[in-house]
Amino acid sequence: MIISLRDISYEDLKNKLNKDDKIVLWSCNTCIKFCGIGGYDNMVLLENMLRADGYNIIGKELISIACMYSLAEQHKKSIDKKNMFQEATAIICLTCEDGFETAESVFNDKKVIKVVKTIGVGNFTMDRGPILTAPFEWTGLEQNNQGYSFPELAEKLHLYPTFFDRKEAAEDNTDENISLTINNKKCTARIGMTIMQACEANSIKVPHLCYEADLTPDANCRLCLCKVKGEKELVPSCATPVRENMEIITQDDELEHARKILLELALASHEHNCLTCSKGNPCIAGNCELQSLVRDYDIKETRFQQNKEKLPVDTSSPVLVYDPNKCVSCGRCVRACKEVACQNNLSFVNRGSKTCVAAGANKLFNQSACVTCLACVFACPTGAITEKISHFEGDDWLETNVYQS
Amino acid sequence: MIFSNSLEYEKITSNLDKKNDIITIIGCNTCIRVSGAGGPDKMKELAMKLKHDGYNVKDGFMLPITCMEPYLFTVKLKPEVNTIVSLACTAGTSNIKRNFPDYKIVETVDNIGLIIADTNKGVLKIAMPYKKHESKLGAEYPLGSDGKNRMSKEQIPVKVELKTL
Repeated sequence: MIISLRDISYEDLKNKLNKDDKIVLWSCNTCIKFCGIGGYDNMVLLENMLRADGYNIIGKELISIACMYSLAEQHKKSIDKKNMFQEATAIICLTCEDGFETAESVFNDKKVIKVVKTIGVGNFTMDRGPILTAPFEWTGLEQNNQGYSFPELAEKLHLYPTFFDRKEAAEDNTDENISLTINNKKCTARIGMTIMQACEANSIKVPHLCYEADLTPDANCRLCLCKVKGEKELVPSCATPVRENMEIITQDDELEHARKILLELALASHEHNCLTCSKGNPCIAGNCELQSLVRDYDIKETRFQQNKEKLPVDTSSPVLVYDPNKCVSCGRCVRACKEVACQNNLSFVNRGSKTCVAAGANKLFNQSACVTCLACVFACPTGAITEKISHFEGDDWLETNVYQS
Repeated sequence: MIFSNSLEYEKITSNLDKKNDIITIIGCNTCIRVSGAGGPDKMKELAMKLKHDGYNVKDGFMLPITCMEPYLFTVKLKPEVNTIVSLACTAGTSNIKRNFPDYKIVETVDNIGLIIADTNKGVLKIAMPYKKHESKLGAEYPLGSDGKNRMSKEQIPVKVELKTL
């Protein structure tokens, strides 16, 4: 992975901006995320800081691999985003310098601001986080397999070991906050938040499968349905904006009963063989969210008959395995391919119980336009799309799957 | 993305012992596959060549990202193995060396630097080279060409320059 550390202070960043700038935050979801500088959460944090200080953030854009020029161009030209990019006057890059150079070229009519120094390549370790093992020569550091940790590097190279600190910005503007009640508890939320975001901001957990913070809400899994006073029907928390004095119930016997049935139905259409599934164990690409929910709801087995025709597993891609039998049709991979990769390579095909996700024109992954960016792998909440780990052996170098355990 | 080029086959075998080394190959499936110096096909090619030449290659593992420790923990080496041939860039090899300190580790590639890629055109461009490869700054190659067939005309319109602290 590419190792980068922040090289400007929050004050320096503000000095590069004008109050009338229309700012887009641009971040990569790969190495820089593991360096603690990029990724969606850091964009949200920086957005909140700059907004509190009176800057105009008009959008955030997450890209699966920012050093892929073709992907960056596709983001800029995307039908959903091109107006935002046309309007923008400044792009803040939460990417490595490699990604910054790409952005600087793609957005050559705008002010593109870099916040990191890229200093070489290294590893992500379990105990020390990211470390630098092969520095660029101009750092004056020797190659070292044990690696240099971020605090050590920050001190040696006069850089910052962490992301911007929320405390450096002004406090949230209370005019933008509203009051509401969630589960009979008085809470506050920011105007524009969804019920799900308001719940998360107030440490209230709402179960969900199809929702992921960095993707557009789709409200298809129905697990996050909640009750809102004055509304006739249950509403999806992930797609319903909060209002002043809203009274919300996210948890009661009726909602829990409905969720349990939905989970059992999901299991009935899901090949539930956790012992031979990589997502059964925590890994870089997350763990199985379906399994976590099934455990939370103490579901031992489904009362419904397995209702999905068994489909062949697609191992044609060099980097991922697609097992449609484990797909719960949440559509997160489809949205990640569209929004994070800007590829539109994944989509739903067929109807009813035959509905499934397919690559390209219902082809194998290696026959489609997949750029192997792994955006779908990181979005999938079950073991349907997982990273391929292979063992090769024998005279014919036969390939077998290795499970992350 | 990190760009690596294959070392000469003879340079790799000069670090191997036909009689005593019992070999596993650990490969990476990310940047090095895009570079053309690694990936499943390259691993099979190297394994078959080594086997054909009398080296004791037991097996191989292809990991999605070798420079991240959690993936390396999925490698279960056979008890008789004493040598790991790393089909990963310098970063991946460092990870292997740190996590398998008692094994002989043999490198197969040279790190050139960081690249910008264009999957539509099938081109990569060297953006941040290591010092000994500074002359390759801005050079463009077809994806997966292992540093061969340098392109004569610019394909990716990104201005690159040497970096200093």
